[in-house]
Amino acid sequence: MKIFITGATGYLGNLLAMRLANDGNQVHALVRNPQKTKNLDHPNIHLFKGDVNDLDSIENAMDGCEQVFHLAAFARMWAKPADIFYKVNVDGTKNVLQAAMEKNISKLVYTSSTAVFGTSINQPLSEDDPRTIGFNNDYDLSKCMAEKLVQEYAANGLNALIVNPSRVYGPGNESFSNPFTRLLKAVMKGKPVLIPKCPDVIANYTYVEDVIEGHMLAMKFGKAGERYILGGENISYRQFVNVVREAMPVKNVIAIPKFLLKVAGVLQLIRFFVTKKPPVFTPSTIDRYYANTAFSCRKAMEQLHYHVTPFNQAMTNTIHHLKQKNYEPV
Amino acid sequence: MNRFSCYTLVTGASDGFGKALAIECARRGMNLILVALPGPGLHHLANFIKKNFFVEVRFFEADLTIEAECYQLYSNIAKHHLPVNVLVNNAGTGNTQMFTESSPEFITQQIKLNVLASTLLTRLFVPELQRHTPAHILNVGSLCSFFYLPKKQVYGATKSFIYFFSKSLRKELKYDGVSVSVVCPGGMNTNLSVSLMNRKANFLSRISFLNPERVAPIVIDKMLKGKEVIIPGLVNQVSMLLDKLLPAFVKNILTDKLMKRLKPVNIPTVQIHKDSSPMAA
Repeated sequence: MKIFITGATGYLGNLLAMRLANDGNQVHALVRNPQKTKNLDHPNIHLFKGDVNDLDSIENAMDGCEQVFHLAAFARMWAKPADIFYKVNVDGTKNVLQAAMEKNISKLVYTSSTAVFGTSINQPLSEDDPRTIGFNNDYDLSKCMAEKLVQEYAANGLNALIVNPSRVYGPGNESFSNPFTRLLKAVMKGKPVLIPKCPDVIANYTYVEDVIEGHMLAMKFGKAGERYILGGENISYRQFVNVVREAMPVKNVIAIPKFLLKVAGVLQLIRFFVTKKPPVFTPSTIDRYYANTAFSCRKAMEQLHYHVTPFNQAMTNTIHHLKQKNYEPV
Repeated sequence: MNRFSCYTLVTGASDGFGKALAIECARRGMNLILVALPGPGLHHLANFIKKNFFVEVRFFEADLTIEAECYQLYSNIAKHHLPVNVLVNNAGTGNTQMFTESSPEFITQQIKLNVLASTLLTRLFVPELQRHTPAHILNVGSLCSFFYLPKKQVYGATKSFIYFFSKSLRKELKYDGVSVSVVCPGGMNTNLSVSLMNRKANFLSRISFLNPERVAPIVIDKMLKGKEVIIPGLVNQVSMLLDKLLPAFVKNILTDKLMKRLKPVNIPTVQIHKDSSPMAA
């Protein structure tokens, strides 16, 4: 089968493209710079130069395809001007949906994020739960707007659905969306683990292989207009560190209070105005790390037959994988 | 009958500030009657609150711009014998638009919802509140009722009505154990299009915008303490102070500048097939 994919150079997109190619599909990958693309070397993966903001390039690459995976997104905490979030995540998604409609694509899976749900209170959030916090950053808002577009196209007859992965960890290329590999590598080098100073705050962590499988299942079983949380276990920072500690030595854990990060965020903004060096995070984007973000993947489990690898096992796998790649301290 | 067997009625509860107020009340153990336009949001919010807090939650769908539905809501609640001790008149429509560009229909609806529905529901529920004291009425006004802003003519006027109405009614009801409060929030990140407009505004306006979940706890706290006028947010409090200090001509220059920068944005929606230009949400 011919399958069109965007975001194939990213963390999830890369693994998904490889999986599809290994399954014997012909993968049409839309990439901005084919010369610079290294990690898509596979006889079944065909690179098409283009951009989600260029409708013609999408239509050209989508020609003859039956299915679409749309993963490309601007996933950062900050950008100036912020318009790029909306240009890529909203306008870009609209282009992909429009092309899919015109090319009579049989099914489309859009990769959103659990960031659109905001934070949880006492119980894990599920797909129908309302967002209880305002939109204080452009990423959440733009992804939410993109979801609305997918739902509108679905209501207008496109067989399109949404998947919402939570915090993804596991082997894969090191992009902005894969902070855990960086964190684990730092621990291997003997650096301390930095965690938010709220050890009991719960978040949801998904093993990358589960998310990739979830995408395949969503393409197979997902219903138009629906969204499916592709998550893992809900665990606290404390439990997270304990599991890492079982798999390898952790020198020390430094808990950072929220106000310190807020100050760091403000300083980064000031530095930006002086030196134009972009901040890694801003005061408003760190709130989510100090609030519960627990999710339930019951819907995906029941309707997509989604499977969650236990955190313990998947994190141990990840660490072994990194060790094999010779990141062990000399 | 104690506070924990009574209900708090919140209008416009399915989204934005109303949703944040409802969740904050639930967090404090207050039972809820949620009212909003028909749609899936209300049902989902009710489920969410029941799942997260140990409170009773009822919900009623109603279009409060229609007078008959206000009466219908009142009689439905009476029929279910739900005692009400807090009324939150939150439902309202805002806009940022030149008067000549606003449709006559929109203006009529806005006045009906912001002014008529709030007044009518208050009138209908006051006897009920008087039976379940200590009781509270929280009317949602706006900071813009203190400033004469272009593109906010009708909206600001409706909120001025709410302000006047609340402060006067407070004097009548204070001996009956019913406390009337009016909250005058500044800009908040409520729904998608307002949030987008706020994200694209300049730095000074952006820092004055608050998130509803930050405002709601302050407001409910002050309402329960019986405060008359509630102005959440430091920037907003400073602008109120400046309002008292600055001469009128300076204020006019400032408000003109601010409103010129605040441009409404349209969320791109679907126009499928040949024409792919974004249309108004």
